Amino acid sequence: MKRLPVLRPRALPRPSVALAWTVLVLLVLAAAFPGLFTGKSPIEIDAATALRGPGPGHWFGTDQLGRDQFARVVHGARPSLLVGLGSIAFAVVAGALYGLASALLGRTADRVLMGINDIVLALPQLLLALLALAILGSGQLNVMVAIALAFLPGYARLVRAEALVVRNSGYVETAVTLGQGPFTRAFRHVLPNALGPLLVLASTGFGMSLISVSALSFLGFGARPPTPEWGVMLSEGRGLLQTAWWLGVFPGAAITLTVVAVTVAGRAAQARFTRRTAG
Amino acid sequence: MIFSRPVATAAVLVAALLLGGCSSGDDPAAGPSGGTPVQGGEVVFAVDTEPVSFDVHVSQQDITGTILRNLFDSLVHQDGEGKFHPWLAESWEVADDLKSYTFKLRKDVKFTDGTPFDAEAVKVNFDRIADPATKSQLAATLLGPYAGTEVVDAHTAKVTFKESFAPFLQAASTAYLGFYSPKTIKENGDKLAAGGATGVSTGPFVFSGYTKGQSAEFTKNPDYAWAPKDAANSGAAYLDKLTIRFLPEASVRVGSLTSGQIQVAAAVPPQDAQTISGNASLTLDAKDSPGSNFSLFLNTSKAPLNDEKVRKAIQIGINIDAGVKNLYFGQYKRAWTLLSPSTAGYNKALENTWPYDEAAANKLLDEAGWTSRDGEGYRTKDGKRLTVNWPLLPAQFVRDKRDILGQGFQADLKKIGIEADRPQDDIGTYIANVYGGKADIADYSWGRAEPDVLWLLLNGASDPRKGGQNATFLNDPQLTEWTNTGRSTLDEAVRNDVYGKAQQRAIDLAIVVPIYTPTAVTGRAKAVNGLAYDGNAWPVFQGAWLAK
Repeated sequence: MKRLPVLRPRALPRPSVALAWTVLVLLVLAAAFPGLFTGKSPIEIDAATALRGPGPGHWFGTDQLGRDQFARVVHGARPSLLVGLGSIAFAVVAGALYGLASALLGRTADRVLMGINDIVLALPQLLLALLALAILGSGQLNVMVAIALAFLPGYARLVRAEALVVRNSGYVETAVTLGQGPFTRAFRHVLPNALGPLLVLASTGFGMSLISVSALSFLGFGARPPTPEWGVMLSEGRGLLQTAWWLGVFPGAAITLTVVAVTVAGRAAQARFTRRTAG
Repeated sequence: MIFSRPVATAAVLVAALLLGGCSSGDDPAAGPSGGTPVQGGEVVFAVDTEPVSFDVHVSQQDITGTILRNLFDSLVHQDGEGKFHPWLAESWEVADDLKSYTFKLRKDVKFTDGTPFDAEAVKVNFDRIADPATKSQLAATLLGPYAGTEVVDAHTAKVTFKESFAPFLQAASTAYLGFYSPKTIKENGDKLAAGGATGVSTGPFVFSGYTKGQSAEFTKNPDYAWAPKDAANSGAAYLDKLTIRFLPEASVRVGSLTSGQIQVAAAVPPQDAQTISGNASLTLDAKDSPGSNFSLFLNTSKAPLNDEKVRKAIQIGINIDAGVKNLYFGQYKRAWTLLSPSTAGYNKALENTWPYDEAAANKLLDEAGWTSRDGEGYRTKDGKRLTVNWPLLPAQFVRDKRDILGQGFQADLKKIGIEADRPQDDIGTYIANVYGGKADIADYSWGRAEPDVLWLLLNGASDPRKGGQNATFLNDPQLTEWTNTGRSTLDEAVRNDVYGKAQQRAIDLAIVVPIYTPTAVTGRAKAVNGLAYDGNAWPVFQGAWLAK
């Protein structure tokens, strides 16, 4: 199999990064202040204007209940971003603690914890999230937790690896001789050094988590209707692609654009980080 | 249907919600025709669901009865008007007390393994259905208070019941009370669920092959000469072969039909109707499903819907016309009463009697004391918000975009100051809330070609907490009396009268809000002629032929 070329720092043209950041800023603005972009309500129905194509009155058209699709896409930014961000934050924090515990609590603990971690890591993330949701039940908070649980093992492994490197470094050995306890060592020396690569991995993982959020919402586990959420909108528009393409295309484009922007920006940050640490 | 255990209730309920209930009679005479039938050829019919069990005596799925209708004959045949015609029984007598039915059987009928069809075969089959070891999920309930079958002589069978049982003729007309060869029951009784050649019957087609997940193949039974008395084709099927394909995704069924890979597609969604009707070589057959319309059932046992004014406000305060029209592209009819128009006893007088009226709904809520409004615009009384709990089924069980339709109604209710809370939990929680009487609104339809479905939905004894389906939780003496009367008589005038009154009263008390009539839309190539539809709006291929 041919390997895909790895994006090198200089292979990434600057305009694309700038564009990605512009998109991200707009998205955050839409999530925080949707009123800046649209004055229309995302949930108000109007039977008289049902299923209108994109046009001057409704930029993205209307759905079967006559709701403005542009307003729904704009208002949909908040639940999508919040759940995506929340799950990744949860995964990073919990994964870091798990990885640190594994690295610093001794050989037996390391074997047990990493054994469990590797088993879970072997399962597809979306499948794990679905399993968690089957136990937790649906809802946005549960989707957040489920995705976090599915992403956690990757971060745990990374933090453990970084921690092992740092553990054997001179300054940690000095800390040991100075009589510092394992907790002090973990949080004062090991964690800060593992943080860089962790955050870089998190920034690319954010894109993945956004896709998972949309996928789970698409399957009906996430936001409760009539809340506008991109995955839910995609699911609602799915059967109508032949008659009303705009119902599926715009929320789909919003998801794609967000994930691409997050990934491009994340890769750029990763590249800069690698350059800095390498140089 | 009568359920005993909560788990069984859950399983059967899910299946019923998913598949639209049970079966009905058929109407082979009503098919279109164009010229002289042509012999031979193969038709591929794509359906949306694959049967879990092919044992027609065990399965409760619509799809099993639908597919196997082409293999199984019944004692009697019910036409589109609900009248009964001779089929495997030449004639029959019903005892005055409705406790026994005596059938004179045709003498020339043979199973496809050569075994003759006789009174003994009727007894073996009915006894098998009633045997608890068979674990029948639907057929046993169709047999009701079955006591036994007496073989009077080789071609006379007397079926007796422990109590009066008026719905038996209709039940006997369904495929679920069809007949397996006693030989195959003896030798392969436990293998019938798996489908294939062991399913030996008397029908116009023979079960020749089955590939799980893909298709079932039926070939012509050349000796068939015992079609229903009123069928257009009294002899063997014209087609050599009928293939059933399982294509769950609607767009795939429609795509396969337009590209000519299949000739008939079941369950065409409303939004794809235009694709098919716009194609010169294809056509659509839309048939109202019999039984109850998709309706809201308002829980009268607790506040706030124990107040008739609030219920009435909901009934006229949601814009059903607009919702149904926009969601279903004019393919489904808006409903005015619980029974669907194709069900006997349909009360036509109720049409247009309770139109959408936002102002009147607001007035009713004012009168009910819900006069103040909170910050979000919802009505309040004594500091409490007017909220109704209306659970949503888990996504995989939602049919016909009822979730989106509900969002429209939710917005309509907000306009008159009612908050509709629509939690979407797992199926266990849903059933516990809706059937335990904790929810305020439940929504469902119930397919059956019998107005007796009103007993299930409105009778006081049909309490959901005890396995019933009356989610209004109202034990209204009149509704209970009328639905009891209906099931204990065969007098059509009496039945029409009581069922008509029951439908009217359910609307007057505002315990139900009928929404739309579930409609089976079948797409087919125009080359397929003579296709008939049974009472459930499913195609029957005995008289179908393929134009050259």
